[in-house]
Order: sequence, then C-alpha cells, then structure tokens
Amino acid sequence: MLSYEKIYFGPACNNRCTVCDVLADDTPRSLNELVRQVDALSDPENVELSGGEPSLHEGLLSLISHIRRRGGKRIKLRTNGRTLADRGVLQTLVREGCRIFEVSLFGASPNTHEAVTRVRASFDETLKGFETLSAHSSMAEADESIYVIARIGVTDENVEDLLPMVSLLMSYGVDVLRFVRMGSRLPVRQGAQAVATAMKVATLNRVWSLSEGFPPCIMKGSECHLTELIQPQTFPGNKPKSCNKCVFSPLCAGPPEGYGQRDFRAVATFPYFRGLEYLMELTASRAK
Amino acid sequence: MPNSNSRILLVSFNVAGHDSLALGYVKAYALKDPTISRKTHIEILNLSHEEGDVRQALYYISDYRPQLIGLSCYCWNMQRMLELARSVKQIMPKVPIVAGGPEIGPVADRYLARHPALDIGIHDEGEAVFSDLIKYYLAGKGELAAIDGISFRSGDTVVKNPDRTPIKNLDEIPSPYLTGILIPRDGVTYIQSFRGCPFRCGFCYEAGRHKGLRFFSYERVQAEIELIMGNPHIRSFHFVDSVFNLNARHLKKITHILGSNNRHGTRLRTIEVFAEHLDAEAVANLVDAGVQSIETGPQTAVPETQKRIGRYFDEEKFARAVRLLREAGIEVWCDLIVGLPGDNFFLCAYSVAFIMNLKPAHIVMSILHVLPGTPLFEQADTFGLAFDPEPPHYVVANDTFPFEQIYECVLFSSAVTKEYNMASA
Repeated sequence: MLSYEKIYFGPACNNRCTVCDVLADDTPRSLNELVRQVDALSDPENVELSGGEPSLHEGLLSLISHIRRRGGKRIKLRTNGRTLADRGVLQTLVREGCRIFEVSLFGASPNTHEAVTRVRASFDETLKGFETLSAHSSMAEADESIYVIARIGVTDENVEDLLPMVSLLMSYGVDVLRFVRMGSRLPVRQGAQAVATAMKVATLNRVWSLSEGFPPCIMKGSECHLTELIQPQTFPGNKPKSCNKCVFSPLCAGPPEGYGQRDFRAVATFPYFRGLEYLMELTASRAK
Repeated sequence: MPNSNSRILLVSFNVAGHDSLALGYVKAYALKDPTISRKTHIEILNLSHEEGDVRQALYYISDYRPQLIGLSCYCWNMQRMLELARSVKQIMPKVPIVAGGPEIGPVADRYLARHPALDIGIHDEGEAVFSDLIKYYLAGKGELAAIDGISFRSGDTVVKNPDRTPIKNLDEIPSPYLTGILIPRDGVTYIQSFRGCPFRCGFCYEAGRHKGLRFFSYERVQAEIELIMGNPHIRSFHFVDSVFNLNARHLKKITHILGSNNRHGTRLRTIEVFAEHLDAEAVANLVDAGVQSIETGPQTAVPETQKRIGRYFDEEKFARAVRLLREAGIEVWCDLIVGLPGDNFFLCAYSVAFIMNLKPAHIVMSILHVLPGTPLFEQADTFGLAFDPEPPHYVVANDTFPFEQIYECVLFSSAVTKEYNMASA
C-alpha cells in the first residue's frame, strides 16, 4: 500500500539465486553514487534499499543516516536476511533508522531454498535472520519496533512448499507474507492455486498476505490480496485480444510472458469495481 | 469514616492508569447535597481494563461492603461489569446495583430484562439521577417510580420511567478536580468544556442523544485549567470535548485560556477536531494553546459512505487542514473505521491510501461497533447491518460489506497502518 522510492545498491550478493533479475555484470554503486540517487528523489519519505544484497555494502549505515537527514521516515531494507543473523547488525540498522525489513525466502527446507539461492547453508542463515528479527520484535520498545515482510519467491521448485513456508514464517511472527511469482517455468495456474491456498491459511491465522504477478482472472476469490488491485498501476495495450473484454484489463499486465493464453479467461464483472476506480483515480492524481 | 450504613462504591474499568471522569462528576454532584455528604462515604474504584480482574473488584467490594454500587458501563467493559454484578449478587444479594453509562443508557430496560443482577439502569447522564437514588436507597426518600431517567425492576417486570431533562447549566455539577475528588496527573487528566455534539455521525452515541449543546462556564473551565497547568509535573493533558474547535469563538476563548496559563510548557494531546473547519488562524490558535497532537476523522474517504453515515466530509478542506497542522508542527492522527455501510474492502483500501497520501503522523483503524442508541443501531435494517447484539457490538456484515471482506480488511488495515506508523520522528 505504501509506495517506496527505490535505491539500487548494485548486484553484489552472497546468494546466487536462479530467479534473480539483477544483472551480475552490473557495476557496484559507490556511496557517493547512492547519495546522489537519494538526493535526486523528489520525496524521500519512504525509501526502499535493494540490490543485490544492500546489507553487504559498507556505506549502508551512512546512506541510512543521509536518508534520515533528507527527511526519510520509513526506510525499508530488501534483503536475503543472512547478515541479520548477527543481532548486532540488526540493532545497529534499527538504531540508525531502518525499521522495515523485507526478507526473501524460497523454501521451508535447505533443499528447496538452496535450490534457488545456490549457496550452501544460506537457508540456515536466513532463518537465523528471521529468528533475530522475531526476538527483536518481542523485546523492542516502541521507538525501536520493526516491521517484517516475508517475501516468498514462488517458483516451479517450491510451489509444493508454500504451506510449510507459511507455517514456518508464522512461527517467527512476521507482519506480512508477500507471494511473488518468479521465473517462467512455474505452471501459472498451479502456482496461483497454491498461493491462494497459502493465503487462506495465513488469513485464517490472522496474518496479512499479498500476491504479485498472478493475474486476477486466475485468482478468483483472492482479489483482496492482489497487489495489482490494491496498489493499481495502469497497463495499457499489448495484451491478447481476449483480455480486452476483461474488467481487470486496465490494471493487469496480461498473461505473464512465456505462458499461453489457454489458462487465462476474461472476467466479465467484478462487484467491487467502484473501489478499484477510486484507487486508480488516486494513483493517477498522485502521478500528476 | 462514616458509619457502616452509608458506603457507596462507584466502579469503572478504564484504560490503564486512567481515572473515570464520569464517576468523578457523579460523586461531585452527589456530595453537593449536604445530607449525602454528611451521611455517606462515596468511593471510586478505578481498575485497568487491560490488566484488571473482576475478582479484584469483588475482593475490594467484599472488604468495603458498600450499601449501593454504581457501575460505569461502556461497550468495552460491559461484559466484565455483568460478571461483576452477577458475582456481587452471590455474596451480597441485597446490595442494589445501578448501571449507567453509554452502553446501558439507550437500552437500560432491555439490559434489566436480561440480567437479573442489575437493579437499576440509568437512561442518560448519571449525576442527578444517582443523587436521587442515593436518597432513595440510603434515606428511604421518595419512590423509584418517581425518579425520572431510570428503568427499574418491580417484581418480575421492568418499569421504564420517563427520561429526565438533562442538566441545563453544567456548572451545577461541581468540578471533580476543584473539589479534590480527582487529582490531576500527568498524561491522564481530562477536561470537559461542553456536552453534546453538533454533528450526527451514524456510528457515534453522541448523535443519538438529545440535541443541543450545554456548556460549563469559561470561568469554571479556566479554574480547572489553572489548577492543571499550574502543576509543573503535568506535562500533558486532554479534553474530552466531542469537537475541540466547535466554532471560532469557542476555540479562541479556550485556546486563549490555555495559552495564558501555560507557564510550564504543558502540552495538550489528542484533542478531537473537526478538520474541515480549521483554517490558518485556527491552527495558529492551537499552536498558541500548546496543542501537540489532534485526532480527527474522516472515518472513510468515500463520499457515498460518508452520506450513509450522516457525516459531512469535504476532501479538499480536510486535506488542507492536515497540511496546515503538519506544517505547524502539530501531530495529526487520522481515524478510519472498517465495516461502515456503503463500504467494502476496496473502498476501505482507498480510504487508507487517501489518508496515507495526506501524510498524517498516525493512522488509527478500528472496526465498527454498532452501539445502542446510535443512528446505525436504530437503522440497522436499512443498511442490512448485522452485528453482535452483545457488547462490544462488533459489526459482522452489511449490505455492501460481506463478513469475509470485513475480516480480511481488518487484517489488511492493521498491517498497512502498522507499516505506516513505523515512521521515525
């Protein structure tokens, strides 16, 4: 729901994820370059730090201080969580002003997770990161409280593992589960069903969850959880003809690349469309 | 210590650390009567709603052995009050139990019909009624049928007396602070400058009560403010007025009193304002008065929903007020309600996005309570409003908002507002 301005740290990472879309030969960013990126932001109130793995960058703390000085109020770290296994690292980040963490997870076991990250023992370190975040959450005073989003990359290799992942993450008391479609080999309908079920389980257990990258036409009954609807962006044109008849067409990118159209059916009506119109109007007025 | 025939206990479960202002008024009004003040001892028992326990109250009661018990009932503490009343009747069956407060008032007769542990239900304001009840029970004066503003039990039936005309001149109620009944304390002291509300918001019990506003005199309010602000240990306090900026004249008068008595840098926190009425001059008045934070609607940003709940909302004026307050360094807390008739999940999500766009300091989400006596309670059928008839009367569904969406919307709004409220100072 909150929009973040993104600051990209470069490709350096201690994982080698099969689904990563960062170019490995991209150049790392110096602190000066990162500062310039921040200074160029028209509104640095909400800033997301992403990479690669930003927590490996030696200028991270300095940049966080700089963002705070420039008016940053919410600083989010997109991370694989491995460096957060060290309690001292987390405490320093929080004290500096970074209190929102989006941590990626690809499986509920080392086999599944590391099939994506391609780094041995990365699963244990990431879980240790969640553990440290959870321990901090339960102990912190209000001014050092944190917000934890679990970013679950949904791939063809872990689609059977989503429910165990939900169960695992709930034990760490995360605030939000975000299911993100990754890679082009995932059978999209099967993935959508697994995500919808996992989100139902999370909802039943009073944990908020969202999905990304699964078109509304295959997520019937889970519309309230679709990032594309809650935070609408407009996607004009370049969609199959059949999509033009779909009520969600202006808000949907269409069938993901690499998939046939067979799995996708235009949705004729949606009883809550007025709310989506309001959200679209607000997004448009913000863009102006 | 007065003799053992004249002990009265008033009980409230409040937010931790708070005293009940309402019971302070009830006690102050009763003690105004020389006979009552001479012959009775009135005690107020404030327990924490979060941590307090019915059995703690019962322990106190069994030790104090009151002859009359008054319960201050709200939707959030009613279940405990009923449990307490039932338990008291087990060990002191003859002690009359009087229930008052907004949860009881509009449906006092219905409560009595369903809960034999309650003897009397007060329809509206309790001050004058409770004084009459003290005289009836402890001095044997008059009869219950002649006390306006109560429902009472007569044999197997419940009798509902006519309502009582509210006290017109609020200065007839002595100040609980100036009489020493309540001791002002930092952060938990509340002042009231008037009663009533000019608005008729469907979810609010103020809307269902008598029309018109009634005021304490400015001299009286000034005396309370002088007492509170003269204490250097009180860093902040509050007003309970339904709309602090009731009109330009009232705002100027109150903020002038506050500004001219503020010798220790005391701050005023979380006062309720009607944002659309705030202009640059009004905001400057608030700054001069030492206002640190204000709380305001809009409850929903959807015009159709606003209309259904009878609330005035001007998007542009609201946004301007939030900006002016923010620029003046006053924290703005915006309130939104999940479950209003006319809304659904996506309209609610829009309201959250709309408010986030205005960048208030905090967003406060709550779920609709369909409270007895409110317009929504009375018009529940019109809106297909389904809600728990028992307190705290959570909405279950309405004709536009199915339960699954309300449940999901509560999770969604809790999560997104927690993220929003993470803002570093």
